[in-house]
Amino acid sequence: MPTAGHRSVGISHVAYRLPRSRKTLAALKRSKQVRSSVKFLSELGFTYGYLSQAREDFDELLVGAAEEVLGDSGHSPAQIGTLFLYSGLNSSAPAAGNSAVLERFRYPVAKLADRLNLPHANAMALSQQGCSGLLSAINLAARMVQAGDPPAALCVAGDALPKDANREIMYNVMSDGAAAVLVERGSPRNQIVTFHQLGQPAYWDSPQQERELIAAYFPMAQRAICGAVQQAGLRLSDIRWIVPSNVSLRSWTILAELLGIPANRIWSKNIARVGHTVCCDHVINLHDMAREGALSTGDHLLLFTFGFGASWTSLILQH
Amino acid sequence: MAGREITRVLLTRTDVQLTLLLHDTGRALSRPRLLREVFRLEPIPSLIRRVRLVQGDLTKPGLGLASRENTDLARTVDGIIHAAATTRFDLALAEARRVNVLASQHLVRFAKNCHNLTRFALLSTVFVSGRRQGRILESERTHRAGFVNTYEQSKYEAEAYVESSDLPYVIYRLSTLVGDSQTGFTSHFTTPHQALRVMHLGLASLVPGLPDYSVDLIPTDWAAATIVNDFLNEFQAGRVVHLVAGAARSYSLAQVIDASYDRLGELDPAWEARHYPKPAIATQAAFQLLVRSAEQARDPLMIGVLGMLKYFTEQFSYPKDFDTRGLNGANAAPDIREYYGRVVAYCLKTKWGRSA
Repeated sequence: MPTAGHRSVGISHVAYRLPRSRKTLAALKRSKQVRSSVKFLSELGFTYGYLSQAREDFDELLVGAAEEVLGDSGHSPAQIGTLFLYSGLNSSAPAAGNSAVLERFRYPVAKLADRLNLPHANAMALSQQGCSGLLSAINLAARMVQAGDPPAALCVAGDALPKDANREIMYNVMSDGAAAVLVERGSPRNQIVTFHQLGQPAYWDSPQQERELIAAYFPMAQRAICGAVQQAGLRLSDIRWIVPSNVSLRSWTILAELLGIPANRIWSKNIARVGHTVCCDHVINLHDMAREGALSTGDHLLLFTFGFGASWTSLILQH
Repeated sequence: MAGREITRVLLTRTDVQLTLLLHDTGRALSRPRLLREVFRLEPIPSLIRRVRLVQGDLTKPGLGLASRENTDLARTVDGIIHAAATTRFDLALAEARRVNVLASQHLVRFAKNCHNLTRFALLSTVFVSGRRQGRILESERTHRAGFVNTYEQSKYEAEAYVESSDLPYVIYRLSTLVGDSQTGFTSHFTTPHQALRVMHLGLASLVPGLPDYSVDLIPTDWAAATIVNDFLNEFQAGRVVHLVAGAARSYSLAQVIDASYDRLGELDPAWEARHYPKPAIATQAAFQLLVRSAEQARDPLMIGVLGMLKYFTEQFSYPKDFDTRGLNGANAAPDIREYYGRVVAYCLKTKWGRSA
């Protein structure tokens, strides 16, 4: 689903939170939370997995990231027209008797709006695009900001797997994490140049189609990235940084070969340090790239990810 | 695959008497069954009379025959077509040599005892050229470029042995056989067919190679007819003959992928509706990393899929232009565009041999 750029709209502020607790690969192996050998996962570039201890702890990570973004921006609550809360995990509601029907109307996004003191924001939860979801939320937010009066939209995203869950999915080590992004009209940085998403809904049955998804990953990734660059009127050589999702370093090495770009243009430092959160990797990486001074004004950044569902998504920003 | 088709042509287009040396798997077959089940011919008496079956094993000294039988056979044979081989790419070198080199040595020794022998043919592969690139002459074999798989190396060594004999030999170097040009039929589903199956399963990810690499494929009926004609009517000892389609009559690597998806989509709308992406044409380095990941993850399905490709697709990085002067202007191979669709249809119809 290609979308024209929102040149006057950009990502002005980002923040993230990781759980306090993290496990080494060896510890994850001991607790049977990864299937593959430590050596193999280490060769894929992983070192740690971050694990939140309880749902309440994780909710605080979401709130913390969102509060930091709002605080940094200096915006009043009235200037935030939209609040999106995204989760990539499919948390279908438990079967409930009549007495518990109201449980189904207990909305985390409303709770978050309340905690953030955003009574006027159009608060809405989004889901079911896997790792692509936050980039899609940013794209939707950009459209709303461009079209509407309030100058900013807040996108909050994050996922926490059950405490003892398997942490290895399709050769990747999964971490819990939360992130927040302020999408703003007149942003001084990270202007949205283009959003390009290729959907393959025939792959909706992720457990049954794991092998097909693995096979499709690289050809679709190549198309999604090259398509975005072309849509933006750029060449791959114009992209200063690929801002990756923190899937295996080896998969990025393969993708760099496919694209014909040097692997050192993929900012991959956080694969080892953080692991792969479902949907927050790009925000985490953008934040840390800025902090270490890797970004210069005018740099073109290409954020790419695959999401179950399935979709391959690229977002090009100009820092 | 070639041996079957050559036999079929010999039986249907000539009147030569044939002795077929069969290995163990053919032990239970009578001549009528062999004609019907292996050569797809109605076992009429006139055909049955022309066929003599001998149970043997080329990998054993004396072809695995009793001394008297060996002597008797040597007395009657005046021409030999050596079509026995393993065409597996994944064998250990010792095993590939046992089947392709040792067997050739035994057959050459036998042939030297055939006092009426006027012609000896070895079926080989154009890929004895291994990792060489560019113009490949029929008149040259020796190189130090290395080989992509043990099949190439063992056939290279078999050629060397035959060349060093004083037999009246011709070596037919075949390109990759892909099926009958009229029906798409194939008796063996080899790497090109299995690659097509991987595409149909939606498991095609990366194909290493150069997008404009010329994927030289030839039909079995053309190859068999050409060899029989040359062997019987144009035989000149000491030649090497390339049987190839040539770049003008071949798809490029990118084109053969496109043609495969187009044809599968025409034949199987349900498959087309799944929108499986075409595999990306990748560097060897990228492909090898993917193979390594599947192996380290001990993923049997992906190991099988990628393993099937890895022993051959390295060739797609070594473009070649094969000399074809050895055929002396014989009919050129059909253009792949004329018949590839039938091959795809045959694979799909038979579920790659599972419902043939």
